Amino acid sequence: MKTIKRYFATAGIAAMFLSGSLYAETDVSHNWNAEGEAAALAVFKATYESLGGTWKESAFPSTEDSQASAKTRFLGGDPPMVVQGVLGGSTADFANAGMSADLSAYAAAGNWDELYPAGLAASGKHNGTWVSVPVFVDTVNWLFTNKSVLDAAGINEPNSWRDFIFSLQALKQHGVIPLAIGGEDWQETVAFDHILLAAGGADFYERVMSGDLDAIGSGTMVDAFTKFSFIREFTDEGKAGRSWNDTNNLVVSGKAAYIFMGPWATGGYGEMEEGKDWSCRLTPWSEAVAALADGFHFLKSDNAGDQEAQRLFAAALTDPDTQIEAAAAKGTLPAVKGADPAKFSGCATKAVSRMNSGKTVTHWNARSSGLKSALKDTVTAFWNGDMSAAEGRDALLAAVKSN
Amino acid sequence: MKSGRQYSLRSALVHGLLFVLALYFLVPLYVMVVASFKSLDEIIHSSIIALPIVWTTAGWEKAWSSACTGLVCTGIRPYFFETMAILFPAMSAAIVIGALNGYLMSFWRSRSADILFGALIIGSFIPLQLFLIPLAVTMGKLGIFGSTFGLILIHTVYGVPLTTMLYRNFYVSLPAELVKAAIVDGAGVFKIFRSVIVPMSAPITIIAVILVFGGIYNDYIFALTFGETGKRPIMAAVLNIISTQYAVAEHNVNMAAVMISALPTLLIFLVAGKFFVMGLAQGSVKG
Amino acid sequence: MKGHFKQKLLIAAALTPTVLVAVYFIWGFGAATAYLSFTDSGFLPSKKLIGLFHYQKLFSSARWWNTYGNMFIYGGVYLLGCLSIGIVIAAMLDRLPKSAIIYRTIYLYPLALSLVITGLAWQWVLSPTTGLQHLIRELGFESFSFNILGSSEYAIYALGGAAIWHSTGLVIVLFLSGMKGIDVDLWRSAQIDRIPTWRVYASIVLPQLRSTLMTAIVLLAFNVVRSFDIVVALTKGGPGHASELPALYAYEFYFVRGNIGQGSAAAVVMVVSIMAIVLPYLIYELRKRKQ
Repeated sequence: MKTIKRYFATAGIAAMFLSGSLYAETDVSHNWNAEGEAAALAVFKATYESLGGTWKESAFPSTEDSQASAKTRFLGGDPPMVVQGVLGGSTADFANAGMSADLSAYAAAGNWDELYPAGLAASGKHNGTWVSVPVFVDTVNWLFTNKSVLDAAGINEPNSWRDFIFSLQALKQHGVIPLAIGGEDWQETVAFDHILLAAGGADFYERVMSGDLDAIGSGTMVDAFTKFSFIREFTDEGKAGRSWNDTNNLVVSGKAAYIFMGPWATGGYGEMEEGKDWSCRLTPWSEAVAALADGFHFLKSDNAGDQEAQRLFAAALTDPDTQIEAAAAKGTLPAVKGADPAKFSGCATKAVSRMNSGKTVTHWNARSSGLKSALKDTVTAFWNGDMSAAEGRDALLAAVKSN
Repeated sequence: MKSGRQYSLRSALVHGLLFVLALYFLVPLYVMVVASFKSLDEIIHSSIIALPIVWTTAGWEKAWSSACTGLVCTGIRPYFFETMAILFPAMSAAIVIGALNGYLMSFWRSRSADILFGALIIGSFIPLQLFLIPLAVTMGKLGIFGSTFGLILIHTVYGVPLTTMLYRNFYVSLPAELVKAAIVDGAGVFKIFRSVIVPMSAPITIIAVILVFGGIYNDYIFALTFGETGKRPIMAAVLNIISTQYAVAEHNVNMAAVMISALPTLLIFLVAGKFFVMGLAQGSVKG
Repeated sequence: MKGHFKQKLLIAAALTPTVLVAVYFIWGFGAATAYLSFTDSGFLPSKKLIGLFHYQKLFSSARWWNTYGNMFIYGGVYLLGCLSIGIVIAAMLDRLPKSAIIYRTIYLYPLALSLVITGLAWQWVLSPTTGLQHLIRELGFESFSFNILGSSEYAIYALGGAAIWHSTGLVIVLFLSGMKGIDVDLWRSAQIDRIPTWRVYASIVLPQLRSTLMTAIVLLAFNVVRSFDIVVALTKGGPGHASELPALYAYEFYFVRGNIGQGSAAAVVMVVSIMAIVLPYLIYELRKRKQ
């Protein structure tokens, strides 16, 4: 009896390989390397496997490497089926290059247009066709504070840009690093978000990010660069090339007071209590929420097995319970409508209430690659160089025009 | 008397200088080794040159067998074996082809062979990143994209210029009479290669093995873009492990991963370093 | 006569795989890249020609000029550093046969490490918060400041220094073995004439090692054009883009910016510049040798 069973099992496996095309194995290319990100991915993987899919993944150190691999694999005729990334600019890049899969059939079957709020549904579409699947709404413009450092220096949490500047000066006198920033262009540009909001508010931010040359060339932009250069003296000298987690750890360990970072920074605080030992707040000097849709790009494949795997993976990604659970693991918000706010905690709750009361703008990381490059290049050149504020404004204007 | 004292002062100076330079060369290795044997807690709080208070191999064990890239927590181990599966065939092929080329280009010189040699050497100044896109298309057409065989082919192809240069320069320094005598005896081109040239090629082969082994083993860019999913060669795997971003970076595991990945080439240099220098001395560089 | 022809055919057949490598995998791919630099290739390669557009953009970019200049600073520091330190050490070791073994091993081992590992190791040593500066401040010199990685002006020299650390061993062993081959009689006559040791090396030994020097320069120059890994691991091109090198610039435009045309143009300018320097030297040396 046992032998017969084994025989059938072997035959089954052989049949699966022989009919290769019916073997639904996905291949997910991603750079979710942080603890919370990996936990979220594990949630999706579990649902996908329970639907009958076989899991395969390629992890990369950075978005750059993941994109380089996806592109070379596409040219080599072996594209990854799914590429994790920020939706928006890169959705258009993939679609315009003819690399995207058409997900219309799955979207109709899963009624995605009903499942997602209109804005998020748009982020997954190119020219009206579903090509990518949004899973999270990431809010990026957070100010994290180590409260015991503030207490030791006798400072209250700042509620305005003025308060913030005063607190930086007091913290510096107190002998701690007032503001931790790591020396990578994206970290510097994440800090610049708060500066733009301080200088011109949410509407100004939206205009700049949509490439409005009047806004970019305005005096408000000069003011922004002035503010940006002002905070430079409150950062530490060890910032060159420092990764975000080492930078975040300065705040966690009490060597620094503040960091501008996204919700993924929460993982660092471990057992410490939010609200008591540390706090997360969306830019206190603005009502803005700078948000982006995070998700998965689906690349086209003619192989029936690949398509089946994509169908199953899309089903797992769009399952509301799975998405909510994954969002909780990552410390962010699900993209689907009507998630129960009671399921969120701490920072994610604050993001929901700000989204309901404030103004949501689209973060630079979800913009066209031209604007993104122009902004990051100029911000990092300004931050690490000796341009005047007016020169910074001119450099940004020139970069946006030429990109 | 006076000149003797001067001499010993000078030799003391020489020794002192050599010693200081030795420190400069050793410091980075020392820093990595001590860091890899510290606990995570100690890493954060101690200075980088301090010896571990408690020596632990936890970092090494995790790096070898359980460190994660993405959701796959296998450590470096599988990547290490994958690298070896690529390395040995590619190295052998590059060396055989290079030796044959070197022989034909030095003893059977012709204008076209000289041009070919020049084209290979000058072409080596083109940075590898520029090959990625056409290479991907070619691999795709051959149907070997992302396979172990594909990487073997890539490393063979881009190893040949180096091995050709090494063998050619070595053979040029051998006396031409060797081959002439064999021709008089009536031996053919390939018989001379097999029976006269190959037996004399040990010194340069050691150098070629060391350099090609290092070149393939230490490759990052091809490993990253052409490695088979989940089985990428070791340098890509190491950078992946280091990029796994825990809220508190596990520098001890990272440094252990770096040390493990550096061990094979370090061992080869320690063991074969003597032969390396001997091989060079026997004329490989006298062109 | 017939045998001679057959032999030629055999030689040609044996060289065929190498011809394929040179013509297709190296020069063919190089030409493909050059072609792409004149097209409107964006996220993916395209065949539509648009003339010198990408070169105009490249030459009007401040970032590119800085990156391009970096290649010469880095290449110059690296070549001169490796050669001068390497030759001096080799000359010193040449005179100390017994103690040389351990020193030689110490100087040579970094060559075994990949440039990724070299970059990571030096990143640790040079970082002001964990490395050298921190260490010396702990010793009580509170005002000591050494933050080369954070300096827009000097970070490129940190890259050069780390790369010198990696490759000097190669120069040492090359010259050491070259010096071993030099005629001993030279020494005897020099001793009789009471010529100082350093002059013997400078005016008698080194001129005999021209071909060694060429080998060293060629091997080191390979590393300069391929300097990508070490930048990624040590400075990531920062602060800002201050220590970026052309290979990294091209890679970023290729894969991140989705601008393959611009990346190709950068690569072409880089390769042409390097060849403009290396080729005349190579031809000069090889001609000389033939004579």
